[in-house]
Amino acid sequence: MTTSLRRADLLSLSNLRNDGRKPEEIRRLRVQLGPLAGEAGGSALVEMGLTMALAVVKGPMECLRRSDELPDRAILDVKVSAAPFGFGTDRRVTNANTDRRLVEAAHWLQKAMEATVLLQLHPKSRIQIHVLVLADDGGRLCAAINAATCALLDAGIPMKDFCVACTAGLDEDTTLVDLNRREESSSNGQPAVVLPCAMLPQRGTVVLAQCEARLPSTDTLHRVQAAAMDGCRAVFEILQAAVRERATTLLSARKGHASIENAFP
Amino acid sequence: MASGLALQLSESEKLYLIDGCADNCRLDGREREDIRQYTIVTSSETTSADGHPPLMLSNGSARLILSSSGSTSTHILCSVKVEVMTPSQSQPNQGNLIVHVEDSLAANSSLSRKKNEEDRNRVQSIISELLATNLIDLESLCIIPYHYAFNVSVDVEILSGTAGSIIDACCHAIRAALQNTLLPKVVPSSIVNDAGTSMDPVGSSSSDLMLESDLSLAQTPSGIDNAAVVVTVTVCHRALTNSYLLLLDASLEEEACCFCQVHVAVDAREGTEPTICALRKTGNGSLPWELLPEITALAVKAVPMTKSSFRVAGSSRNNASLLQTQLDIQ
Repeated sequence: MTTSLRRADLLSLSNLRNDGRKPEEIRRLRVQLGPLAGEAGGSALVEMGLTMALAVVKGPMECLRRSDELPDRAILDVKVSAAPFGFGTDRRVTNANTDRRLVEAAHWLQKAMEATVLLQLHPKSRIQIHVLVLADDGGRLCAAINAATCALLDAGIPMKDFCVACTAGLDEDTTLVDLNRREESSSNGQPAVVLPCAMLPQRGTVVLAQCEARLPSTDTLHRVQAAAMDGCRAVFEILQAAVRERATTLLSARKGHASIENAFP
Repeated sequence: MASGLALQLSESEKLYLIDGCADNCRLDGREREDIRQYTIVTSSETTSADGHPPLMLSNGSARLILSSSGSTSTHILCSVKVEVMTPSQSQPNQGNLIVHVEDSLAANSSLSRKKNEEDRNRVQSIISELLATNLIDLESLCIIPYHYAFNVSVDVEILSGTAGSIIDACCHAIRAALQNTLLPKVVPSSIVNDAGTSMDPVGSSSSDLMLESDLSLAQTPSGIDNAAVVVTVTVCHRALTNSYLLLLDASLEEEACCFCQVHVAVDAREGTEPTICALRKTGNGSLPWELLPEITALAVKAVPMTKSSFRVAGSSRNNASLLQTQLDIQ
């Protein structure tokens, strides 16, 4: 099937991306708080476009080994794993414990959450966060961070602020927000510019920013960073609305005005 | 907690539970042969017809939620992915179907890692043994004998298993996901080009496979409507009267104090006598021989109940059946 108009020309002609979004638009974000009812702790399912991440939080609880515990604050035990079908294109059975990128994602997630959660309130304890990536269409780390934030909120663990994440990138001098897998993959033989960024939106501080590609100048870096922060703020509004809705539902259920059916999207 | 965490009940709790079953009143008020209603989600929007399946990037997917008394739930997500491969030499006319069950969210304390491995493999091996050959017609997955066939990978993810009855739930989810799978129509391009004159040998560069991008030509794998249904019969032993009680659709508490469980795969298509495709017993109890016909009879009786006791959330007709009727009319 050949078309006279190549998809790559779409961006320059009509200022639209390959899935029809404008450059500064984020993908459809759906949040579901507490999908796994009956789970001790909290859980959240976040879908950014087609990327789906499920986070389960347990804790604060005892540390497994006395040598792990810290006397003045809690430790975060973070694990990121991917379902066999959650790997982008083909189905690949990879051992979650040894996949380097998942281990790295867990490390970044831990650093981001350590800056957000009020760990000093629970000394000598452990908070366990497990993120399961169910589908990967780009922005896996950001979906994981957003899911972890919502799961921590669902579990009632005290935090300084939401920790929201969004990617930003560059395509021929246009900054893009919330890249999907096709935009993240390298084009023209050069690695694509992808900057996942996590921030605390109400405080305006950046918790995580990471870029592994070459940028033309520091001004470009500032632009991409600013675009990422704008994307994060857009994500924050949606997350905050979802959390408020969940809280009102729970409150009215407790008062007896409503009953919660087992929720699914 | 996810599955793999065995519930531990005290002896008096077990006695209470089993006595209740003997009086035909289980912990949640059901009778011994009552099964709970479960929900299958195959589409995300509840009203409009343009909802999408739970996993867009897979060829088929389904999500199953079984909740009992509101606080515990069994939550299963199943994905079906299809790829083209070379069939094996021993069966050149058949494609392949692999079932893989994963429980990534199981409590993975490092103290009992070996036990967790065994638990994980247990569910995986039971389901793949019971179902792998009884799900779809493998010969329909063949594209060109000896050269190309479909490889269907069914991946089940257990998100939560606190309401018990995991194996039944996985099987229902697999069935629903396969019913919503669309196999793309693939034609060898040499046949298309040459109109029958000289066919290039298959495997050479000029006879690649061509994918029809028209979605209406995609089909569901054939044979899925006649696929086997797995029913788990839980056997409890009542010491007082030395009798055996058979339960359907056990909850986690009932599974914790059961004597053993028998998983039966029944092939019950309309018009023929139901046949038993596979049977597997798990658990530590030794089953008396005379009990087996009773168990299988109960399993066969449960199949029509199982097929009708779910509600489909989302569009009530899956896309595949709509497409099938369109193709028939043409």
